[in-house]
Amino acid sequence: MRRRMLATALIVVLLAGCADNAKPKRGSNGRQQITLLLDWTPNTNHSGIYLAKAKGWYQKAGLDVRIIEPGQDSNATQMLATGKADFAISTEEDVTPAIAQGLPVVSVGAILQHNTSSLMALRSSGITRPRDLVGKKYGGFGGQLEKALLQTLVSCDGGNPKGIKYVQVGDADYRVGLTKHFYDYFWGFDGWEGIQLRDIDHLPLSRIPFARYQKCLPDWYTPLIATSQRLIDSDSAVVSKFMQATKRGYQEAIAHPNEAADTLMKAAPELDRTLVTKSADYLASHYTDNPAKWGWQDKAVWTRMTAFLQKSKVLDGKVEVDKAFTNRFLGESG
Amino acid sequence: MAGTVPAPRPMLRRVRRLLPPTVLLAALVGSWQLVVDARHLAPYLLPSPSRIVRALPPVAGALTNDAATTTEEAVLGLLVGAAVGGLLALAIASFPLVRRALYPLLVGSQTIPMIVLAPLLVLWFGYGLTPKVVVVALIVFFPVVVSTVAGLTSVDAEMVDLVRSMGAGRTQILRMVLIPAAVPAFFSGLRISAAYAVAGAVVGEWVGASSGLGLFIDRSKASFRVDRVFVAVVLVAVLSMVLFGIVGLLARIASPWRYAAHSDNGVST
Repeated sequence: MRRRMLATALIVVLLAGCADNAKPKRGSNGRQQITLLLDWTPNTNHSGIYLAKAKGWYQKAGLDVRIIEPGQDSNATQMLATGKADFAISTEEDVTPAIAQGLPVVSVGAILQHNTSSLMALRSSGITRPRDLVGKKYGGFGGQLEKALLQTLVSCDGGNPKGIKYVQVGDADYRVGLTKHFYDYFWGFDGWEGIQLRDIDHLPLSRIPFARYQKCLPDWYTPLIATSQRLIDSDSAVVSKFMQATKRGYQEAIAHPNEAADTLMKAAPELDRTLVTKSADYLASHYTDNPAKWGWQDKAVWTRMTAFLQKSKVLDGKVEVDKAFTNRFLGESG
Repeated sequence: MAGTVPAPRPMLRRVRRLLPPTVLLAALVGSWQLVVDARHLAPYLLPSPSRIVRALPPVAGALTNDAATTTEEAVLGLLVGAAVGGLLALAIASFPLVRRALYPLLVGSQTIPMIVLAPLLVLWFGYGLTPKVVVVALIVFFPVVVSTVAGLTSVDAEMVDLVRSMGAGRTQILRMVLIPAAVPAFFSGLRISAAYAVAGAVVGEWVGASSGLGLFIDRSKASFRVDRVFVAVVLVAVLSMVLFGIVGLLARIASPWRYAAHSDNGVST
């Protein structure tokens, strides 16, 4: 955490000396060169982007989009701020603290309308609701947000948050951790880990979806697409073009999940086809209730999550939510 | 075959050399398979060798592509590291001041874990080929320097004096005595390096890449395919061994006198 803050401070200093023109360069074919940084290895919630690329919708909009995988340590907001990436897949919990640190980043579209995270455990652990987590071990990354969420959830359900035990597991296979009892539960995405463990490995899984506890926990946008304020200032047309082609890609992913899976498999053949196919199916009905409004972000969601981040000390400083996100690049009916 | 006596001997020698590692490997792989089968281990805990073999064909295309990228990074990094290492060794062996100033720093540089350095290299060099080549070169140059310096400084002083008394200058001594004497040492350092080069390239890819075995491992792991992770790991080992072998071959070509002297009594290194 401290290391990241130091790096952020350095970048803010560097930025002060930078030229303000963040306009993407044009290639020899006349199209603008755009770099998009993923948040992880390619997966189904990137489908809209891969579809828009494969269908030529970016090209038609005059854009050449290069997709980059970040590897183990993603620092999307820093890469946006330094201009190493024009767009990045990020999350609300990354964007808000980055803004508080002075990085000029803005969320321009929510990939999923609701948070589809759950806490996942084996049924044999006896965990069915948040207060059952007391005395059980949580396997995670050891982040502040994780602790804040668990504590809020447990106390909201009448448990004592002091009874939560944490194990830092880093980048590990949760199937091993659960079945070998290294820890009792972890935080995963229903559309990825949830499908793999329950539908493919057939592990008897018990889940606590965050969405079921909206009285205690905020909903938030994860993942989302972010860009830099400098790109918006110097070339807002390119942001519109990119977001509208991307929106069309996600609408296609909603309408044709099989095609979304095929396109992703072509771009990343190392992935497991069964998982990708099932996940694409799941996501098709979870991106949004109204495809015409894909990407749309609600101010109330940002306000509540920002307040939660402040209260739980993940966020140090003030953030004006109006500057953190915008819907203006999503086009008509947005 | 009939009547030729020397032909079967190298054959026999080769069999005798390859037999022990082959038997050991077969025994290890066999017991691995038996343990997994007997204990019904879940494939995500430890996939069996047969499962790993079956995992290969569907991803052969992607794997070939990724292996080519990683090989390119490893070979380029090895070349850069060898060149830098060789030149540093010459400077260290030729100038005592350089030796005293630089050598401790080089040793110190080896204490920085690559996993800490690699993310910084991405910030400086981006996501292309460069940061991977730099990672490999940084791993590779050190054994080359140490080994080559040892080779250069162990040259017979009388030999140097002899050549000097015949009127040779500094560069001539270097070219006629020091460098030929240090070539075997340089290559034995480079062989150690070659064994690490591919793994180094994989580490470089872990902080961001658009193809390569590191990326293959990352993507396989992310979609829960432990068997494919193993496929890639085996490939890393095979590539490392091939690279090791090629450097050994180059060593023979570069210092034939050393091997010519031995080949009569059947000793090989």
